[in-house]
Amino acid sequence: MANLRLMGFTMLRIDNIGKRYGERVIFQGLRYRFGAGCVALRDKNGSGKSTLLGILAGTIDADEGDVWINGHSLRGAPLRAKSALAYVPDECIAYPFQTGREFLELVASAKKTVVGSDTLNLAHRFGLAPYLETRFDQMSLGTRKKVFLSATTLGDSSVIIADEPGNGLDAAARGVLMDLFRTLAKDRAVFFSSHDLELTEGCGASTIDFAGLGAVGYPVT
Amino acid sequence: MMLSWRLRWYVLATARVLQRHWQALFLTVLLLLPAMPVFAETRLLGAPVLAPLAPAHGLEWRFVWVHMLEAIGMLWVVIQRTAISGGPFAVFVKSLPVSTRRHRVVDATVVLIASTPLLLPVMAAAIAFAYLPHKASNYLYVLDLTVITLGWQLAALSRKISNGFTLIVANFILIGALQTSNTARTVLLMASLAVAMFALVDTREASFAHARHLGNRWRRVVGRLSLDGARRLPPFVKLQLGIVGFHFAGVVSRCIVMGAVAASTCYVVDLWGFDARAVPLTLGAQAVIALIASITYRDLDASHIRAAHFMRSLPIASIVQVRADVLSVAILALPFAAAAPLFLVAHGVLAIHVAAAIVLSGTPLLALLRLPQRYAPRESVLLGAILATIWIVVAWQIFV
Repeated sequence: MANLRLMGFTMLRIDNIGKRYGERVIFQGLRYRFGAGCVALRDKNGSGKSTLLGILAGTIDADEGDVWINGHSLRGAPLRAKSALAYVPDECIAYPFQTGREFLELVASAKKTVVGSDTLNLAHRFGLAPYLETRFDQMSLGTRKKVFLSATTLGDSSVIIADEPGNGLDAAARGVLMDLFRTLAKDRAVFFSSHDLELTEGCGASTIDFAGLGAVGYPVT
Repeated sequence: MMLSWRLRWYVLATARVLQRHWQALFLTVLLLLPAMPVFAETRLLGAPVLAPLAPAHGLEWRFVWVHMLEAIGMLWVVIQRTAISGGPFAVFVKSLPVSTRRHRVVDATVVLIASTPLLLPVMAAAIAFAYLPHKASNYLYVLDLTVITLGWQLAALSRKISNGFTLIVANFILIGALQTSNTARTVLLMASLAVAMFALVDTREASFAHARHLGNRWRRVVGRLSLDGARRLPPFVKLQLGIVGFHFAGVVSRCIVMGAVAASTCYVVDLWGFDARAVPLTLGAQAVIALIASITYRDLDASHIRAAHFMRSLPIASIVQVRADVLSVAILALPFAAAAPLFLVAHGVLAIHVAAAIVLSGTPLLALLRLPQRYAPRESVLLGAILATIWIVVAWQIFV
């Protein structure tokens, strides 16, 4: 798998994706192929970044088109596609009574693996050790984000989708995040949204906007 | 203005629940009271409030009964405390220059409106008193009971029992008054009312922060109790346990009602001497227990919706969650659903395999009851009652 990743293999393919809410077209005609590397989505507020990332993660249904993760269609083979995916939403909301450790165990169980030393080491680097037994409804936004970011190392994910991953993180955690994304991007597709130039550069990410993704009606910049 | 915002928040937070309560009450009245004279209807509906006035009952019985009525009123408020106490905006309102007295008036009004389904027996008893002698003392008794219960409800809402002693005194005078003759009773009931009113004026205002904090604390305790013994369970089992623990007050109240249905069924079957009506009554009780247990689907759904955005990104088939929810509700209902059939087995009315078949036959009903709770929550009472009736008709053909 690692070799395939390094040989220019397309890990994430967006194929003619479109989404509208009522009469309002959010975007349409998005086409793009992502190989190993880190890409940051930058566009104006309200352009549909979170909607697009939700579609790529399989949490929002697209009106048209399909998403292919590691060669598996999100429509045709959703479980296989999602097995190769790790997602960090903007508002990291889990079950309020779940502790950090229980959340990691649940994600690991869904991906048919266990919480290993890689994940625990990352959690410790994020300074999560005192919070692993804390319930989600007692965690700050930053702590919740760190738990979700730690979960990206669970299973054999080829694609990492993150919506504003730097939100709520302190300076030390931002450093760990940059290091994490740089490491993951060596053999995985990391696609995240951010307005934070410093974070984007720190992750070694190239930037793209909706026009770059081929959106119909967007001027190419 | 403050009352209007509090009420709008309450309606927003509980509109569906309140609507379902009224639907259930309306259906019950339609089913139980066809073509009854007004007096008989009010006696029946007001029975819980009228019961302590019956001369046949002694001091101990009245003591337990009156406290039970007040405890139900408190539980009613505790279950809805987040909605009644005003939501997160109430925390900000506390920083505004509003007098404590005004806060108390708003609290009491919201609690009274929130308790309207509980006030139905009180109203029915008040109507029934119009046909009975000793009107003054009887109306004073109802007023006393309402004010004392309101006092306990406000104390439960504020989490401050500084006026608890005063309410206990009012309660003792009330129960003592019911033991005396009519003249002394009126005087004692007036004294009890004065003490209860004093307690009401002294009540602390409701606190959303307190309600949330205490809710979190006892959920934590329950969560710990249930999960400490379940550390080795699979994460998805722990998740279901966690949801049930998170909605602990609601689940416990449902268990109490299911227990009451099971116990009443056994009592009536015994009263009838285990005759031919035993099995049909048991089937009816099974359907009622399934209807009550199915309300748990709402708790499960509410928790799943909260985490749905992330959970949908995980490689889990949606049917897995549905199966887990049905299984959770079935496990919750099983002890109560099994009670009456096992009681009949113990008395030789049913063979063990028939009793097992009756209990198992309730599973499809329980699974089907998820649909109205999930997809038509506003009409869930009516649709649930229709499904339960169909199930009784089918089960009747098989077991009776």
